[in-house]
Amino acid sequence: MLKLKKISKVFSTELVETYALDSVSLTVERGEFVAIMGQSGSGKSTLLNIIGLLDEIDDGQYTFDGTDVSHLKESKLADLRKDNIGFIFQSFNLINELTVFENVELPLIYQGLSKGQREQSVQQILEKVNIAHRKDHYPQQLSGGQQQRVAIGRAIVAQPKMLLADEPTGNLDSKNGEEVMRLLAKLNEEGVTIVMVTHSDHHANYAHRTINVLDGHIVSQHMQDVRYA
Amino acid sequence: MLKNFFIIAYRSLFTQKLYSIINILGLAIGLATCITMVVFVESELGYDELIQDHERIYRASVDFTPPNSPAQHFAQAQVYNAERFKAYFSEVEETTRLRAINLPLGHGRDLFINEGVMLADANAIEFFSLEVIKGNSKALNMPNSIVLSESSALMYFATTDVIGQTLQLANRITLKVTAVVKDLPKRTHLNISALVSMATANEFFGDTQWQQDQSFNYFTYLKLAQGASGEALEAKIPTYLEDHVKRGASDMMTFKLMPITDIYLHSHRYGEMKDNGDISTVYSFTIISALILLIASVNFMNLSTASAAKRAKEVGVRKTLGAKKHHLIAQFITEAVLLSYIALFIALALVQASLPLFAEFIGKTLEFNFYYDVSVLAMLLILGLFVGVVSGSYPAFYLSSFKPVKVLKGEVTQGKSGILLRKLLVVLQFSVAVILIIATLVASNQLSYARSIEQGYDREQTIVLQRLYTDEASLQRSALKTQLLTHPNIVNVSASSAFPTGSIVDAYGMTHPQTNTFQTMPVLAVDEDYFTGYQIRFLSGRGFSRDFPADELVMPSEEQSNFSVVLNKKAADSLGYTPQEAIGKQFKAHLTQGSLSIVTIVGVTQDYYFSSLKSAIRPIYHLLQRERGNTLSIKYHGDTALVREFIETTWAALIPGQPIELSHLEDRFEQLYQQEDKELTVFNLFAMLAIFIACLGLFGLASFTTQRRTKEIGIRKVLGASVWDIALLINKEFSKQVLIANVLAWPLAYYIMQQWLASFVYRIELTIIPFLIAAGLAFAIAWLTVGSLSAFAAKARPVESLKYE
Repeated sequence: MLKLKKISKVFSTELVETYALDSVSLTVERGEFVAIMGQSGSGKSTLLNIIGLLDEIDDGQYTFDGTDVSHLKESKLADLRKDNIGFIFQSFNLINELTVFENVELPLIYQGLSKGQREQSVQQILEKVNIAHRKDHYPQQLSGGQQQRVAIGRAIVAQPKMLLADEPTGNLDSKNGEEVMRLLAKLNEEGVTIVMVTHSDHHANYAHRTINVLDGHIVSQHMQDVRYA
Repeated sequence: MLKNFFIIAYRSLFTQKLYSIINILGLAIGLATCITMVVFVESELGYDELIQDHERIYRASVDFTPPNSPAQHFAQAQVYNAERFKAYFSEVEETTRLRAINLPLGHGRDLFINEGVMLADANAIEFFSLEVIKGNSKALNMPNSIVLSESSALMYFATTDVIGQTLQLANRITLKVTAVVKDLPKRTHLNISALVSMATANEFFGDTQWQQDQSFNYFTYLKLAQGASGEALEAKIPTYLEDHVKRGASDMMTFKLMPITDIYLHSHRYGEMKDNGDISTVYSFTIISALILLIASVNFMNLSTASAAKRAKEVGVRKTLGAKKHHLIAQFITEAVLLSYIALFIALALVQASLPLFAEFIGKTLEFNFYYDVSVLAMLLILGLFVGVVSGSYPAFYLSSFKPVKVLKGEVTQGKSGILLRKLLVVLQFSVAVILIIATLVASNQLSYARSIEQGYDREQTIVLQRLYTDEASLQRSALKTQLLTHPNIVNVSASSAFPTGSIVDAYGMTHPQTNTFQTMPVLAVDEDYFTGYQIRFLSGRGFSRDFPADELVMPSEEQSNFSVVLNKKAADSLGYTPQEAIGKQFKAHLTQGSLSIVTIVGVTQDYYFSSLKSAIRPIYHLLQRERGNTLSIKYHGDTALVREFIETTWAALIPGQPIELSHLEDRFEQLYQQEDKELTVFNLFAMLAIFIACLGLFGLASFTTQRRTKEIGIRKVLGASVWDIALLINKEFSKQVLIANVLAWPLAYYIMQQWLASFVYRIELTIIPFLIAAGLAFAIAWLTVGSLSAFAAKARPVESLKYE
């Protein structure tokens, strides 16, 4: 699905240059579920942003779905994102001025689908993430777990090949967190590639493989022996 | 405390550079415009207030309405009106008269015709509070006395020690200088460079009948008794007319009294001493400068309120640390006042730099020396304080009312009322901008229409000479014409009593051939070459010709003289004839009291615009009357300079005692619209400034909106929105406001421009096009401003905007 080869990302201020990522290589296969772990500031979110084509790399090579995307322009990246990647954030990032339905509908609007097509897909997805009964509510009117379900619905509505989740359970209590993880696992079973950043060992266990990041380096990788159902 | 205010104010100025620049620049331009306009308006007000008892002095002018003709408004009255008013009305305490002489004055070869040379009553010096610097105020009591202004004395004698010196008037009257007066102050409607005693009139006119002259030649001023009212006096004029003016004639004539201090801005009568100002210019400039200051202040409020979110945390922290609401209000107002003073400082520099250019352009002397004048300085300080406090007060109250807990939690921040208010303010700014764009477009369309319209006569390559009525010049008129025609490049020379771009004021009495009622006929005396020279097209009949000696009007050799007339179409219409029917028709004319002439219509010309387009085409009765050819129109081809030189030498040889007054007809034509042109340019300039400031405001506001929505932009981009989608999203918000602004501005602009156009007789139709252009421009400007910003935001990598939490 994707292949990072010795990529680096530098944040420079007037005084210092900090390597957020230093010569990182990583391959993710189609259908895989990968968890990225590490402390705050270890570079895991930067890694996820780069995988998600949200941030540019300073060095190295990135091949996404067979295309070298290392030096593409923002508009090209936007197209790739639109067609291939769904995002889930810790803070949900729903648009407050739009209803649940409209939030989920947004990616389809940008893909240029007709109103009829959109309504059908959105309805289907809302049922899938079990939030259809709140579709005319605004994000502020929902609980955290409900908001994240909406966010997941929005991330998958355009049927992306890959789902990127940045601490999707970070703002949720354990019950809601569990629910979200089960949803992700189910999506993975349906064939969606998932890369997830998490702090929780427990939630990392949902993944096939866990990658540990420290100071901009991948320090270890291991395959999960057991998968929670 | 205050020090802390200033430190914070100073630092926030620098941390928010863009907004500070926009704020200060907008406000500085607004203030500079405002100051410039105040200086201009101030220079137009207070005319003639230096004259003692000015509040009691009125000018009596004649309104003359011949039967079946439009009213004519003269600045002057008849020679005897002053005396009769004084005798009839007990309220009239004193009167004085001035009469323009318009003849060469000087000595030896230094002869000048100056319009400021006046025949004046003996009391004129005291009446107008002229300051005598040599001689005394009795200087006009004796015949053959002349009082010179300081600069006239210097011009003729290079000194002001000129008492007893002599000057020649019209090469035949010797005048002795009896006094020198200071030049008139700048702000006066009077134009006086020399006063000749009225006691000289007998010699000047060559007979004693001049006091019976019926024509309107005398500026007549009345000083009323203490406590008397000009309006009450004017109300009594009809009774006076019945007693003093012959039955019939009293219906045609009436007097208007105007306070002397109103003349400059409010009087636009025929024969004013100077080109007067116009109150509507004063109004429109005042309004537009107030609007610009308003837009700039609105910007200020808008931007400050919008930046509230940024300052919210500061407010929260300060409040937790014990700041009271009034501390915060004081702090924000201090900031606003600081900004306002910086803007004022820049504005003063702008005014200093631009005022001379502006003054030269509008042809006035404008001065602005604030550093000499404590009161002006104080006014400016108050202005800065006022603008600062007013524009800073809303943001101050808005910001200081934040609840600290909410603010610190980051829950702030965009009160619904704040957003609504800002939207309203943007709408207001754009309404003003749209109105100004529409006004500018319509006004320039109208003025170019005036120029492009077919005038009906040929004005190209035409030189006109004036003042051939003097004794010396009138004797040489035909010789001059003959000699000029010897030049190979001169193709036509015609004499007439006035030339196109001027006015027709002469009129005789006549009897309407169909209704048998008495009316006047406005006459233009011409010679046989007038129509061919100006290429005026005939609709029927013929022009005057040497083959028809009976065409000519010779006065006053016989009691009964018959002559021919060429009408313009308007005149034929008013007599009820088509151009074809009119030929050969006759009517009775009354050239002098009791005389009768039979007039035959021999031709009808098409209508042509003798005067400016501001007045309707009036009936013209062209008469062949050579001795009234006061002006000479010379048509030529080829090199102008060569012809001009030839004309000048020919004149100098034939009429050495009188300076030539030569002008190009095309220049005269341009001058008809010059004032409007200049006003339009100034108006354009200020409209552009207003639009610019409005754009600055929009830019600032849009950048805040973009910032506020940065995260949303990021989310949308992650979800697949393109740069274009984002630009569209942000623009949609502002487009709505621009649309509303247009909806509000259109009817208002329509009304205003209808009113303005109504002052032109020949005017363009008000179409929707300027409105559409204005709307288009407003949208384009808004889109460009907002679009560039949002595109910039949208182009950034989404990770940048998502960090914005």
